[in-house]
Amino acid sequence: MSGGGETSRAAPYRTPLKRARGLGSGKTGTDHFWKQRVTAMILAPLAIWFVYTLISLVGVDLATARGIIAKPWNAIIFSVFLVTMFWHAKLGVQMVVEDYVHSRWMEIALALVINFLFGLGAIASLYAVARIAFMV
Amino acid sequence: LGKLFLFGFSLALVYHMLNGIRHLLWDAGWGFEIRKAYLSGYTVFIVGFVLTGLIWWLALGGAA
Repeated sequence: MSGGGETSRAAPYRTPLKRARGLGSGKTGTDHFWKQRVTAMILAPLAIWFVYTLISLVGVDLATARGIIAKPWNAIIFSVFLVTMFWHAKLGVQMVVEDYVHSRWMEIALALVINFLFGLGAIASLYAVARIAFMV
Repeated sequence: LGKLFLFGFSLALVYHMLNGIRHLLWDAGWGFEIRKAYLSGYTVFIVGFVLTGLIWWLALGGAA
């Protein structure tokens, strides 16, 4: 990239792309950024639906509340909401760590912890919905 | 006390969602001028409180 004065034969054919590919300087590149936006776009309407559903549950007894959540489409949308939400949250927290934790080993350790915790949260919440939906 | 916690949570959720939409619009190249960015910032702050208030008004049976 340094322009004139190159004596090596291979050098002129090298492009900046080689530093970006694979685990280059940006690691996963724009993948993380893009997934953050896509999950955000999915979550915006789902969050409104979620709050609306919660309000509809105010004041009803436990059996009725379980019955409402157990309705097929409610259970499906709720599951989608939960998975997308945990994914979005995981990406968000990960980004905070990557930006503000300045020691490499700590960053990697926290990445593992975050992956584990948010994965656990997503699976646990899916289990909870499934239990309500299938064990009425 | 639980309701206070839930109120804070709902406010954070609404505020986060509105600011998220604001960022998505910026990504689409809309409203990135400094004046508009400040304006949408204040708008999101105020609308956040209004929407949260509306949610709680509905939840506490205001529409019933």
